[in-house]
Amino acid sequence: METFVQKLKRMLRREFPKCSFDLETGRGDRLSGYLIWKGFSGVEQIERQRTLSAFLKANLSDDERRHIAGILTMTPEEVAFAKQA
Amino acid sequence: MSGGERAAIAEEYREAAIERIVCAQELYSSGRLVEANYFAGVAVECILRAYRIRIDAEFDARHNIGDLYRMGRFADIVPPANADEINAALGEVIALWSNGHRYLPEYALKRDWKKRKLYRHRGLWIKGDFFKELTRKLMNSSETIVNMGIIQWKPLFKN
Repeated sequence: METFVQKLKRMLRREFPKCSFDLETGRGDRLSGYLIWKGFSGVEQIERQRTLSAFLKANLSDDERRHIAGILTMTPEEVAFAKQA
Repeated sequence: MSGGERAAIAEEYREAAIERIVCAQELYSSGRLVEANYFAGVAVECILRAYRIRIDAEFDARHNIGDLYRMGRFADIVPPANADEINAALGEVIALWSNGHRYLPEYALKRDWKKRKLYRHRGLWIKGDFFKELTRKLMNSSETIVNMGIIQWKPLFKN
């Protein structure tokens, strides 16, 4: 699983330069959390998700994608705001 | 806390989510946008708490929607076909809602959203009343999340 997480992060860093992550592994080795990228600023949430989905679909096998429960697409400012909640 | 007690509290949270989202819809319809905004976020918090307490009664997520989403393993209940829509809705609520908004009068909430430049989309100004438009987005997103939580709900114990 660790290898897959590392591979995923490496791929995401190439596609979303200077992004960061807040991901954790839950039940059944499934990942969930945040992909944090300044480039999402001003982009509708649904567009962000479709961009990420298309990227994952094009670059991961079905088996690999089953290890992803859900990744929320946020900007650094949005995450900072959420942490104040 | 026993499994039965956790199940009972989970049911209470689930029912509270339904009541709060209905209340938010009524407030929105009557133009009370700040209150609609607040109740919409509380409804999301309730449904996420309902899922969380089914797993473990001990948690301290305060009012953090992102933490509750993860701790309640909400992603596991979402069918793959709905994942983009639900993730987008959660991102929207996390970006717009704060429990602290309950203390704010309308002008202060507008000021907060302006300060965070939420009135712009792709560098352009949102047309018309940005406050109403963002509240509408928060409402829609909250309804989407609560509806998914309700549709996918399975009682912990069968009678």
